Amino acid sequence: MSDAKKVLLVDDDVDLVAVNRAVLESRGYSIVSAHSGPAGLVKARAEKPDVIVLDVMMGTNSEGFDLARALRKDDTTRHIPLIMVTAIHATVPFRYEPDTNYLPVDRFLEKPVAPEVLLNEVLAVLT
Amino acid sequence: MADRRNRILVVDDEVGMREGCRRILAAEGYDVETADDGMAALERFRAGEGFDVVISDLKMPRMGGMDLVQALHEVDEDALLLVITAYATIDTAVDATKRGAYGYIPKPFTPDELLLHVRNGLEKRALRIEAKALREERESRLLEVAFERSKSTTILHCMTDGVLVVNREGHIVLRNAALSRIMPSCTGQPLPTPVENAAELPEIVSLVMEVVQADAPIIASREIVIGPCTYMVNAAPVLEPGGETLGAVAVLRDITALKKLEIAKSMFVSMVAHELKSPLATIESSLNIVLSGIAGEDPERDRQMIQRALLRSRTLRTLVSDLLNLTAIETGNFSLKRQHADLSTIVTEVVDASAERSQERNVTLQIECAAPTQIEPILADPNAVRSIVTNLVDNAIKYTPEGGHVNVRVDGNGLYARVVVKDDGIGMSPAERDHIFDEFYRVKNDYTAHVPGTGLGLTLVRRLVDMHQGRIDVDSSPGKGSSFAVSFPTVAYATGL
Ligand SMILES: Nc1ncnc2c1ncn2[C@@H]1O[C@H](COP(=O)(O)OP(=O)(O)O)[C@@H](O)[C@H]1O
Repeated sequence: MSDAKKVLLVDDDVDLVAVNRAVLESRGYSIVSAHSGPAGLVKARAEKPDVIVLDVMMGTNSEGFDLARALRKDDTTRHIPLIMVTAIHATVPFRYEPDTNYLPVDRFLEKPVAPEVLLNEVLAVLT
Repeated sequence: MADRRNRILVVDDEVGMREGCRRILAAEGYDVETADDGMAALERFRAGEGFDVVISDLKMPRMGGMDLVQALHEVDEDALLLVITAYATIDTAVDATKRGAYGYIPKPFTPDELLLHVRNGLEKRALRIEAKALREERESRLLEVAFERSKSTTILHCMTDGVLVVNREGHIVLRNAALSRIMPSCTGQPLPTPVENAAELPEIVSLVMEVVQADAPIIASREIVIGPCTYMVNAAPVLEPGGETLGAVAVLRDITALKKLEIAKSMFVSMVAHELKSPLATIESSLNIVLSGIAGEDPERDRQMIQRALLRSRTLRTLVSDLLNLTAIETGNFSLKRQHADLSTIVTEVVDASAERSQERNVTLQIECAAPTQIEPILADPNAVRSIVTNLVDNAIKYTPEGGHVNVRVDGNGLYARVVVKDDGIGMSPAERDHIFDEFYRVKNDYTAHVPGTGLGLTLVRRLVDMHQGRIDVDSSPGKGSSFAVSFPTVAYATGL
């Protein structure tokens, strides 16, 4: 599977990453992961994933947002679709303009994300 | 008064008259004394001898009856004087009654006449004394009331709660100092003043009027925000003995601090809920993957997932029991059972119990105790000390990568016995170190992400150390390692020996 799409999972919960990894790998995706915002940025630059799934709440409440903004500022990662997962019940619009400074993400998902939903969403932003 | 024999003083310069009177009166059971002129009589009064009735002749050497009346009243305003007089001086006798004698008896007189006059005088005297007692009682009660009133006023003004009394017409008739502080606009207004004028707050007005206008007595309560403070306002009717409403009294209590506590508490609850929800969701997802087979069959991966789920639920259980312990401490439902304890023994036990875990993680765990003479017994709850040391050793093992070292040392200095848990693990930055005792705080980085924890362990450690009047010192630098030192007061120090 040389043309396997690469997904970067960023979440401080290692077990949740393991679960999502299992789900996505079973559908042929190749997975890289990071457990903090700064590590996520490093991985994104180095691995050039096709999509990034990002948890909002990490060490600090804003760590996920900070990473999303940093990814959008960086020329090497600006174009990568971002799926943001949050435990907050937020009624934010589904899609944001990528250049909006506030949540520059492509998809917003409510935690916990069912495996089918994750697969659909990843597929959706890739096509 | 009835027990005491009535005392009578007979004043006359004629021995015959004196003795005659004495005989008549003594026969009736009176206690009779005599004096031979006004001056002698006055001296006996001045000496403090009390007489109920004085019988005095008008004409006497040195001081006559007329002058005696006046002089007597200067010594004792209630003194009763009966004047004995010859017909020739009857005008003078009348004059004497005008000056204060209660009567006169013309010479010659019969024993019965004398006794009648004396009895009259004694009756008068009794009445006067009674009236005086009554008057004195009334005066003292008035004083008491005045004092009570000023006392209540003082108390009212010393109260920290604001007090406001409103009459049926909705006028403020009373306010205390605290109320003036709470509502400065109310201070300047003379009383009574319409409640709308003074209490700028429509909520208080409506609350008070609700009570005043209610058909049956009611108590109304509301939380009202004035500036930066929140007040609990309770308004109750002021009832007449008959039950009719005279007005309402409102008490304003500052509950700002309570409110803050309430907010902190609900924030804590939502924090706890979050701390429980995330791991539970992860456990659920892990089990779901294995059971549904949605990620395909992979027995080894499934086993690992279930293993991790088990570990996570254990951590959750620790979290719940830590929380229960913390709550017990906070609500005062936890008390230390302090006794003479040997720190080295407890620490050795804990280190032994942790040996297996350190081997699993390939971390070298060592213990070193100073000479027993150096480590004096401490006054501590052994279970609490065990819990403190276990937490520190667990952390040292958890936050030290494979191949690292954890060194536990026990020493003392007479005042304190000390345990130091030192590792060469990941360490912390000063900023992180400032928060490690906070509830649920965990350092987040790629290393700690793989370490299960609750963020409550050190919170509990800190509380327990504080309860022992001990101290905890932390020394740490990122990548180099950390050292936690806990000192417990020795028995000698704690008991002031
Ligand atoms: N020996 C140590 N070395 C490095 N960091 C530590 C050490 N002990 C505690 N910490 C940091 O302090 C945080 C709070 O500790 P604690 O309250 O015991 O919670 P936890 O359950 O997360 O271990 C930990 O999450 C960790 O980041």
